Amino acid sequence: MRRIFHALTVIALLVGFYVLCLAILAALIALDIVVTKADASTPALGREVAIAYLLTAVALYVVVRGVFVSTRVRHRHIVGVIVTDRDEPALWERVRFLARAVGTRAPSRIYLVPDVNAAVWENAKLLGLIPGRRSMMIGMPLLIALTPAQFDAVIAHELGHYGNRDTRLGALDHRARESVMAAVAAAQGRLTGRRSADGKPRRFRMPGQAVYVVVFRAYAQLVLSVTQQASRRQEFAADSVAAGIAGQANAAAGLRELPAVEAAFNFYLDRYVAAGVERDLLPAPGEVLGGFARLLAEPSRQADLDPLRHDPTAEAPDPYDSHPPIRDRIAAIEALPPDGRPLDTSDARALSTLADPTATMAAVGARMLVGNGAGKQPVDWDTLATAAGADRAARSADPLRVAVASFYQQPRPLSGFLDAVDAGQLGEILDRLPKSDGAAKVKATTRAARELAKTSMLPMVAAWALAELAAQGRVRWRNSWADAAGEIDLAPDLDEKLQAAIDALAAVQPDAGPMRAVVYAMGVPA
Amino acid sequence: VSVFDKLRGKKPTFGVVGAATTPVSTSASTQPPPRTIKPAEYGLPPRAELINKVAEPHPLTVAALAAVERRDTGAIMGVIDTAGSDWERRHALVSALASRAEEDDSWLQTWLAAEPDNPIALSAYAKTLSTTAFAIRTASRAEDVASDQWEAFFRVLRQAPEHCLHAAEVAPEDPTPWVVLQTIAQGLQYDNDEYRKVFGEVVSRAPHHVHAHAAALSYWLPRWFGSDELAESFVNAATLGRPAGTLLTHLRLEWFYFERIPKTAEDRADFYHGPEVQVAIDEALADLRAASSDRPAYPTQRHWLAYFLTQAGRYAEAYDMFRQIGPYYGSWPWALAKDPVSRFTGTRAEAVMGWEDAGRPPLPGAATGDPQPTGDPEPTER
Repeated sequence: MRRIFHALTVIALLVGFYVLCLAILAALIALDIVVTKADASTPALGREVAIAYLLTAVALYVVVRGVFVSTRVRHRHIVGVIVTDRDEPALWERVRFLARAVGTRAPSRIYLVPDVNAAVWENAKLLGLIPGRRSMMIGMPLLIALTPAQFDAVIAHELGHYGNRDTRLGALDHRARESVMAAVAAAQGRLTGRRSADGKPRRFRMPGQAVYVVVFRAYAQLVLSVTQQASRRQEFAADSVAAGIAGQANAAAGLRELPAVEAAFNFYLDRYVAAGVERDLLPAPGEVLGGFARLLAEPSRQADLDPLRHDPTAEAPDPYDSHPPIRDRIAAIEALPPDGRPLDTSDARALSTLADPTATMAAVGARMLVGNGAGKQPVDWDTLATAAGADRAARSADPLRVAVASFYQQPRPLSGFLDAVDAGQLGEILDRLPKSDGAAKVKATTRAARELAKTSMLPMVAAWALAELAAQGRVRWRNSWADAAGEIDLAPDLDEKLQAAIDALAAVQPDAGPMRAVVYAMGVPA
Repeated sequence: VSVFDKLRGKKPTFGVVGAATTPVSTSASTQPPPRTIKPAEYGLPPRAELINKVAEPHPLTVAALAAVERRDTGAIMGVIDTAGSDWERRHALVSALASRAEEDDSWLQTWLAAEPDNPIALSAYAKTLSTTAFAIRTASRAEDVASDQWEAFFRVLRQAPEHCLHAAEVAPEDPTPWVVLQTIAQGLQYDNDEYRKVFGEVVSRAPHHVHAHAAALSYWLPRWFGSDELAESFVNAATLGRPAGTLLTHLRLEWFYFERIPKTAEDRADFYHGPEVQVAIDEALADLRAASSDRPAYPTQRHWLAYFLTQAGRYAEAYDMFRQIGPYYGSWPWALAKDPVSRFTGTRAEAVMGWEDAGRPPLPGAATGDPQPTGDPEPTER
């Protein structure tokens, strides 16, 4: 009875949303009619009429967009590959087994996606009341990172949403939430994801648009508050189903693992995959995800992730999330009566369920690069690390490069800097460097201030020299899964000479000669 | 630390350097006395006319700096020759030359390029490296010094010893390079034995060199590389059994100031009026009377005495000392305060008012025929 009442409330809210949109339009059209008539009798009202029409046009745009968008919320733009029963028999077998154990229908389609995510959804009809095709997405990072038992728990949780019969109505809740959230996003103009030249989301606002954002957001709050509790109850129920299938210990461990995997994957994408982007370089398709497996295999990285596993509170609190905090979910699982089933501590990973993990990683990896890989060249990790290292070195040298450019009033290469040192003008370049924290505290003489500035300059000179040597192919970086910056691969004698050259520049009476000899051993480029 | 470590994201680490001087706050600076004086009425220069120097510059210093202005290194060496084997004066002249290179050392570099073996230029250059390094470090406590300050401090300071050693080689009779090296050694964290060797090089050439002893006292303080025991035994060795007139006696006052002043006001009053301080003051006064006023350390001794005489309630002597000091306040202990001028004027006012309260007893200087003050007999309200 309570559930039916809840469902009716949600349906009423959904219908109410459309009614609200129509009411706004109807009111504005009525206003238009009134002013148009008034205009006919009082010709001086031309401006008011124009304003009323404009407001209506904006409303029409925002509302229609909101409704249009809200009615086509579909998981259609999935970046991933569909795997059939024939492609991945063991995976399908596992999913079917889990569905049977949960007591629900298995999905009819499985996507493998490059996200830290797993989900089951159903294209239900009539506002979610009639069952439709059931689909599942499984994140490759989860297959790579989770043990088979943890994987079972995660998938069983997702299927569990359909097992306890809340789900069809749960889908209704879900749809209601997504519809209003999408409308808010549409009204805010964020849906397209277009970005302006400076990288910030476009913020063009039409007159009156903010009003709709406020109205939609208020309505969304209402929907959220109605559906929140039910959603959370479902999550706990699904967790308990998962614990029943995979074992309490594994279900809890799987939940602990999720924030860690997410953090690790984001770090990996940011620091390894995207590292060469500025130079139009990307890892080979098989390595896009393969590298993540290698990163996770690095013991020091595992140690870095441990705090996240022990205290999974780092996730950003999202008021619109239907999931209770992971900490609460773990506590709820651990509060279940002990089932005595052991924690899976083997080295096996769910990835081994796949028929050909390497090929599948390559296929999903290639799908990931579609749209991102245009004009970019696949290379090995060391080449990527070298490109990234050279860029990082060049960037580290930027403040000095800027100071030198300001001194000469035009950009100059490292040789220009060395010329200035020879001419006794290092001090003037040092004066142009940004002041360090230390320098801000020192009310020093000119010489003291310059020597202090030199301290921040020396690593910049070293970086500039490395960037030049990299351009000459005389320094490379080795990729390291323990250190995203990689390891500098410099011939020992070159390393020594470079250090001596830095020391010569560090002297109170600096000497640019050794640096010139090291970097321009093959002559100064024209 | 390799500069490449920065690229690898490592922060440089440094050994612990003892905290720098932390002045003991006294009632004079934190709670200005309710009454104050009009200095002019007591033959004292007003606050606005005070000068941030230890004393009126010595004629030789004036001559040396004038020679620097003219870039006349021959004349600089002429001044040095006039000082002859007055090693304290020579050190004071080298310090003055170095201070003239704090902003711009090009004249000194030019001189060194022309005369790479000139011991005076070498010592002065080492001294400017030292003052530049300590300006970078600032007098903050070690934990308040930023890592880039430490890095620059050590980088600059490490370049200094070679110039001292070079100077010592070309002028083996002159203790000056070794005195300059003392402060550098302290910054570079020489261990006790290494430091003793440097100090030994000084005292074997100039047994009573006051500046060298003051520098060594700083090294032997517990906050740097010594201890209570080492500092006390150093002060005893420097002051006990010496003839009057060495001007080393103020080292005991300095040591009291840094290490022995009690925390509470009541204990402080007992301490300053106690026999230990009284004896130290009497010895310092006798030392001053026996010393030549031409010595570089002579004004320093007066500043310390003025401070301690006031704290000890010996107001007539203190007032007399302030009259001798005149407008100069650029010395320890005033310079150790956050606001040296206020520390100086506050102490001076306390001495004068104490003298007034005691019924204007005769000043010690009266015997020597100094004019007595003719001010308003009552202290004026602020």
